[in-house]
Amino acid sequence: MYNSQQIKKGLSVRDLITTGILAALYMVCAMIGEAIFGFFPVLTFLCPLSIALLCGPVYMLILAKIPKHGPIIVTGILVGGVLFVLGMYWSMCLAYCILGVAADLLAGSGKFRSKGRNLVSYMIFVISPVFSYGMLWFDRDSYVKYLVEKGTEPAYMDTMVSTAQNWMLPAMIIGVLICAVISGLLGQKLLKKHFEKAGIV
Amino acid sequence: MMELQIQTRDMFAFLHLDPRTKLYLLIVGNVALFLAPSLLYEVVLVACIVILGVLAGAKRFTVKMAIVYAGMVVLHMIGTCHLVGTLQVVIVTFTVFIRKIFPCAMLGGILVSTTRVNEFMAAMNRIHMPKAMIIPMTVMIRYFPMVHEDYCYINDAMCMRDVGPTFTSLLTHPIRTVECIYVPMMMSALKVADELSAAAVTRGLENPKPRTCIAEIHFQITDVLCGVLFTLFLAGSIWVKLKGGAG
Repeated sequence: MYNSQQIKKGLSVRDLITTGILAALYMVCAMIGEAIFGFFPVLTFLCPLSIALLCGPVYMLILAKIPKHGPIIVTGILVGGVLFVLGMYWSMCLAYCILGVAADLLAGSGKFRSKGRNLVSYMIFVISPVFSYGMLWFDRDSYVKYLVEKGTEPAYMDTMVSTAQNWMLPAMIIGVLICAVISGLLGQKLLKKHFEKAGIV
Repeated sequence: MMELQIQTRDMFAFLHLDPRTKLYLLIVGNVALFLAPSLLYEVVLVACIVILGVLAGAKRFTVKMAIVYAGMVVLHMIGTCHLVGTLQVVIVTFTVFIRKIFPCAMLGGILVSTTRVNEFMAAMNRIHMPKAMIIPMTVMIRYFPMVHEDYCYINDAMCMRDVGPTFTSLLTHPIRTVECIYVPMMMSALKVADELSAAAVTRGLENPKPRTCIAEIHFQITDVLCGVLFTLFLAGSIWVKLKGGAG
């Protein structure tokens, strides 16, 4: 339980350690989400969805356990940093940092207690993995050129690019948002059922 | 905190790099791989990483990763030369994705597993990283192995109560299974956080004065060599890219 004086003081060592551990848990959930679909070539586009589905409870726990400005930003930077180290595209890592700040501000506007705002802030935060696939759309020409140079039939590539990829980006974002709502609500329910009753958060 | 440390084999390590150099290598390696102009370039870069890994003491990990990478390259070659149609597109796309990710994961794994916590914290202090970043980062890196351990215990406990996290139970009772995994996992994470922060506060982590470290952190000739080597690589890839763009 935090009283008003402690909130003013900013993050204590205890908060920082809790953030670190929960960030590790978030990271593991995200990696499991990645691993479910990441190994199949075409299904790889479903990765952001499974990540959004898995990370909700941990995100809600971070917000509930440390209701201050900062932990979400730190989590964003850490997760982005680790993903960068693991060799993901830089666009995704940057998205984690920036969207982390946005999500933190949004959750903070409801004093980290408003369920609706926490949910929306999770929806914002979890869009970040989509940005790694965004490269396919932003840098499509070089990608297509590369494949064609390597001997893929241009006609086949054309149809694949024009039909599949244009509707896939919005579809992916909508899918992520839906998954985020499901996962976030589940997380809030779990917190209410188990953690609040036990007096942990 | 001792339990959280990954075993390092210092006695077999010929190369002992400064954590700051490692950070630099990671960033440069990542960018170089992103800009990599050809397959040959990538393979040479990976060869450098393998040599670095073997010299730094993470032999088993490096060899394993190198074998997987070699398999990936062979698959890519087969895909581009001998296959046609949809199968080729699928395989080439897949291997290109993996090849962009894999070497960095390798480099990251080597560097993290050969760095000790206290050295890492000292080096981060030296580059004036704020405390709000250093502490969560260190805790996070060392908590990763624990997550797996915790999961194994939870799995055992769940099987004992007949709610084991199998595929069928995930289909028949999705909510209950998920709940049975998440709640103990998060509970134990919070408990570890409490214990760790108690231990850390007792050892004076809240002390506002600058941190001191018994292990000396300084750059050596090997640091310079590695840094220069990777920078040259990066420069090479940029040069090729610019030349290709002009011509």
